[in-house]
Parts: sequence; C-alpha cells; structure tokens
Amino acid sequence: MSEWLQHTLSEQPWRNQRQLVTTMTLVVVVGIIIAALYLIQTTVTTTTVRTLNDMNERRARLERDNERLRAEIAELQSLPRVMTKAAEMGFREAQTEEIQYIYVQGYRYNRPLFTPTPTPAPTSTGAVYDETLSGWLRKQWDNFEKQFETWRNER
Amino acid sequence: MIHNETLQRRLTLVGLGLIAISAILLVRLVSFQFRMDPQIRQTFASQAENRYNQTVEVMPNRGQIYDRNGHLLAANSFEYRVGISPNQVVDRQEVAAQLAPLVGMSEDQLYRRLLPDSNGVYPSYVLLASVVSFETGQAIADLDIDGIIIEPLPTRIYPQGDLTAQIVGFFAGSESARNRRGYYGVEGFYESLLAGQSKRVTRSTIPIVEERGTSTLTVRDGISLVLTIDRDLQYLAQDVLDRAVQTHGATGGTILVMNPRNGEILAMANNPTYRPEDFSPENLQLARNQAVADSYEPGSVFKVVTMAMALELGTHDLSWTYYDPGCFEEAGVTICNWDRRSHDNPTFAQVFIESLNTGTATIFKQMAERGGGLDVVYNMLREFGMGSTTGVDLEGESAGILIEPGNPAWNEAQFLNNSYGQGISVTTLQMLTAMNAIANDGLIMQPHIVKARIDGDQIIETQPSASHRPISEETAHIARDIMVQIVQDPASLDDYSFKDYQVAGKTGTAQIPTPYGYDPTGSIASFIGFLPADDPVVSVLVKLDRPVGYWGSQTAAPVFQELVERLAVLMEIPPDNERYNLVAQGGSPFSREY
Repeated sequence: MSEWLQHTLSEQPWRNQRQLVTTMTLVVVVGIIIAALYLIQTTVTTTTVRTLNDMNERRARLERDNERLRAEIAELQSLPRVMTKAAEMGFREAQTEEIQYIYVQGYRYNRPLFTPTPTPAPTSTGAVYDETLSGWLRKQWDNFEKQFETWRNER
Repeated sequence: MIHNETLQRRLTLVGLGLIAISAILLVRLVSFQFRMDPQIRQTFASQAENRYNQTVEVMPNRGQIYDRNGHLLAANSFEYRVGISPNQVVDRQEVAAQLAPLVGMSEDQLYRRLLPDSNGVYPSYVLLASVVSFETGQAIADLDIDGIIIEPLPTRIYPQGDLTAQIVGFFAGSESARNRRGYYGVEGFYESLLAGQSKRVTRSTIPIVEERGTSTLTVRDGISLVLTIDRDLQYLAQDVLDRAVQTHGATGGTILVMNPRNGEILAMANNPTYRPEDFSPENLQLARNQAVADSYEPGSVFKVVTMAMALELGTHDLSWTYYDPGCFEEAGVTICNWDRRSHDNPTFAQVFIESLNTGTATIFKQMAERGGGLDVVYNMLREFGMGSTTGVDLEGESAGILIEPGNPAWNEAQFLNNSYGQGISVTTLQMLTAMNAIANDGLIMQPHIVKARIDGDQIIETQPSASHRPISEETAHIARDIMVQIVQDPASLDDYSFKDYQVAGKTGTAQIPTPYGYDPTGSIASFIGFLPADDPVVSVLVKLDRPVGYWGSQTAAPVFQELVERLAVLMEIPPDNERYNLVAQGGSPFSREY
C-alpha cells in the first residue's frame, strides 16, 4: 500500500507533461463548447434577422399596396364619377323650394372633424444583430448577478 | 560519415535561411499591418467599406391631404427604379427573357448588360430602368429573381384630378427619392411638414455585424393635413365657373368662397387649371393658383372698401351728398361714370348703389382733405390689406400693388382712380378678405386653408385668429346695409335677383391695363358678396376675365346668383323666412360648423 502511495505521489517527469496536456485539452474543450454555443446562437440570430428582413419587406409591400388601394377607392369615389352614377340612377340636385325645414327640439347639428385613417408606421430598417461574444458573456454574468441579488434579498 | 556531416551542415544552413526569410516576411507583414502608409490604409479601408457596407436612406411616408370631410385629395403611391447585380445571376438568358418586356428593352440588349466587363469582372450593379410604374415594379418583384434590386420611389396620386389641383399643388423631382418635393399650393407651402424626416443608415451587408454610421435622427412620417376646402363646394364652384367661362366667352376666371366668420377658404376654383400628374412644361405653366398669385385691378367691387373707409374715418355719413356732373377733370385726368351721365345730387348710399366713379373720387379726395392728409387714406388702405400678402398658407401668394406717395410712379390721378378700384392691383383673395371685414362686423379673420394637422393619433386643429380690425362694428353694419341696397335696388338690377335670401353685394367692371394705357376691348367682370346679409356664413367673389358681355352686372352677377342658390342648398343654409321661423321656434340654424 505504502509503495503504491509512494508511486502515486512521486513526481515523474512524464506526469507533469500529462497534467499540462490534460489542462490544455480541458481548456480547448471548454473553448470549443463556448464557441459552439456562440456559433449556434449566431446562426439562430442570423436566421431570425433574415426572417425579420423578409417580413419587413412583405410589410412594406403590403403598406404600398394599401396606399394604392386607398387612392383607388378615393378615385372611385371622386365627385364626377359619383355624379354620373347618381344621374344614371335618376337622382338630381335639389332646388331650394323643394327642401322643407323642420324644427327639432334639442337638435344641435355639429359636423365633427372626421377621424382620419392612421398613416402606416414608417418602414424601419431590419433588426440588426449587434451582439459580441464579450457582450453576450457580460449579459449572462449580469443576469447571474441579478439572480444572486434577488436570492440574497429574499433571504 | 563525411557525407552525412556535410548534409547535416547544409540542412542547418537551409533551415537557418528559411527561418531568416520567414522572419523577414513576418517582420514585413507586421510592419505592413501596423505601420502602413496612411493613404494606402485609407484606400483599403474605403474599399472594404464599399464592399461590405451599404448606405440607404429610410424614407418616411409623406403626409396625406384631405378635404374638410375626409375625402382624400393627395395620396401616396410608388414608382420603382430597377437594377440588377449580374454577379448574382445564374441563368442570364432566362433572366433576360423574363425581364426584357417589363423594363422596355430587347432581350438581347438586356442579356448584354448581364455579361462581364472587358476585364472579365461582373459588375455589382447595373441599372435596368430608372423609373417603372407601380404595377410593373410589383410584377418584377413577383418574379423573385436573384440579384434584382427594386427601389421604391415615392410619388403622389391626386384622386380628385384637376378639381383641387391648384390648391393642393403637385409632388415631383428627380429620379432619386431624396430629391422629390412638393411644389405650389399646400404641397409647396407645407413641404417640410408633409415630407417628414428621413434617416440615413449605413448597414453591413453581413447581417450579423453591427449597424454603423446610423444618424441619431429617427424616421418620422409626414404630418397629414385636413383642408378647409369642401370638395363638394369646390366641385360646384368649378362647374359653375367652367360653364360661365364658356357661356360668356371669357378667357378665364376665378370663384372664391370663404367663411367670413373664421377666415376658412371653402372653395377656390380657377379656369384654366392643370392636371397634377402631367409634368409637361405647357401643363405646369398653369399650376400657379391665380386666386392668390395673380393680381388685377378690381374695378368697382373695390368701392365697398372706399365706402367703409369713408364711414370709418368719419369724413362722410349717410347724409352726405354732392353734385354729379357725369364727368370731371381732376389732376390732369377725366373721371367719368360708367354711363358718362350726370346723376344730379346723389346721396352717399346712391354713389355705391349706382356705382358712380365721380362720387367715389370725390369721397377719396375729401377723405384726404378732411381726414388729415393722404397718409390717413393710405393707412386705411393698408389696414384693409392692400399692398401686402394676406399670409394665407398657400405657396406663391402675391402682395398686389399699392403705389403710395413717395414712390416715383405715384400721382394724384392714380390716387383718385384707386377710389373705384383702378390703379391698384389686388389678388382675388385680398379683395374678398378685405370685404370680409364688412361681413364679419369689422374684423378681418386670417384667411387659411389648413383646418387641422394629423400627427399620428393627434389631431391639431387650426384655431381661427383675427388678423386686424380696419373698421368698427357700427361702420361694418352701415356698409353692409348699403351693400344690401345695392343688390335690392331696381336701378342696380340687371340679370340677377335673389328671392329667398337677403344678399349683400357689389358688381365690378374693371378696365385692363396694358403698357399703352387701358385696353378698350376687354374687361374684368366681377361680383362680390355675402349671405345671409344679416348673419353671414359665406362670402363669394366671382371674377371673369374678358367676358364678351363686358359688364360685371350682366356676366359675373348671374354666375354669382346661380352659385349661391346651389351653394345654399349644399351648405344647408335655410331661406331667410325659414330661418326666421326656425329662430322663432327656438332653433339656432347657424350654431354649427359650415
């Protein structure tokens, strides 16, 4: 037993090398894991950015279509068209003597200012991924700190 | 053994040599990287910048323009600029075949544009069409071709066509979105509000890299405007004017309708007008709004200002009278009545009812003599807005011409001519605004055309504001009563009469100045008035340029009559007897917004 212990504890030149190699391998593996995580996150973000850009483009196009339709509706409702249509349907302008005025108790006519159709929101630029590895690590650390603070306050 | 030693030595030398070369290369590399010539560094940096960055302008939506009832007068639309990146195109022949008919090129022509340059390098961008229509742009986008670049270029659609063209103005410019802007009318006057705020953004073409060079500004949509214009009234005014121009063989004309109580412009029709989406020079020559941009000598309608001035200064009252010789010589000119006949001893009111030039000239002269000099008269003219812009919110307003003492062009004859609206130039808007003082109990309200501004969900209404008070309420009422007599007096009636409403008004027939004196062949015929006379809600000015009938009472007055009869129905102004009945029953017919 003592021999085995002595053998275990004794300093061997190759043993130092192996420890060094193990430590370095460990560092490399941890680095690879972090890099892989970073890469996965970057990939997800990039894909999301592309999706967002596509959606933004679609939204911009829909907005342009809507604007166009609004103008088309206004053109269809323009007075010369409406007057022509009304004439076709047998309507004509009323004359003063054809109008009868009546008094209605409490009636107060106030033409309200119309409620406008809200203009669409401006087309913003696509969301841009601007996170760096150090930034991401900082954010994780901050979250961790915040959780720790919460836990300490709760106690 | 020797051989081995030699080999060993040589190998060592070769090794050392390689290490030395590597070291030199490494040192050079480091020196190149960190101690680079600033110019070379700049060049590389800009090349990298161009390769990986793209600066785009994020354009806001331009504000829309509505009439007072929410009818769209100016809406946004788009054209497109089409380009392509040949280095991203895979099947050039197929792309050329698909795009050629859409961009107006032959297939062969387009195919050649997709080929590499003389150095064998594919260009990163080739312009295919500087402007294509909205529909074509959408069709190209639907093809989903790799490398196609479609940039939207904002443009405007005016759904009411030429009906409100000179009020709204137009939107035009170069082929770049940034250089397009509004001209004339509301589009020009409110350009900065309608345009909103764009933002330049420099973005990396690699989506995961941080956005660079972003300005701190935010993209802000343009503010939409609600005008005081009533589209239906505008249509009515334009319809009546166009027919009047044709019927009376006039070269053009203007009808202006306002609310004298708050200064709102309800309709502003001109003939000729223009098409807002046609940018040909001949068409754009007609883009200016004659009602605010063109000044003319108003003639006898100006006598209402003379009347109000004399009453306000206190130099004349209703009991005043004078001997009318029909014509008289004064300051080197002959001043004559329209009929060149004597009207014996007309009263103050009769001077205006019968539109006597000798009377107004006498009044003007006496105003200067009794009122405290010429300055007093010219101060009053300025109080009525002569010689200065009204400040209306439309682009291109003219101030008219008021020549005052001290100006080399001034003379006494001109001063006397001013009394009946000659030798002084005004715009249609200036003339109606001045008369509105009589309609609105002596107070001139600031004329305006924007009723409200819409900023997102916020609606900011324009509050009516008083511009100035040239005359007292009492003076305004006396002047108004004389204007009612002008319309009602059988002597002043020609081809018009108002049976349902009490109208205050005045006709005008002005001579047209030329470089060689007044043109004997033509006139500017006009009628100015308001109704109901005892509680005005609308004031109108009708002007016809060079009508065949010559006289305002025979050409412009019947047009005024037709207009107000139809306008009263449209604006739901009850006839006077109906209105009195409503009031007697406790109603308040005008307690509403017109």
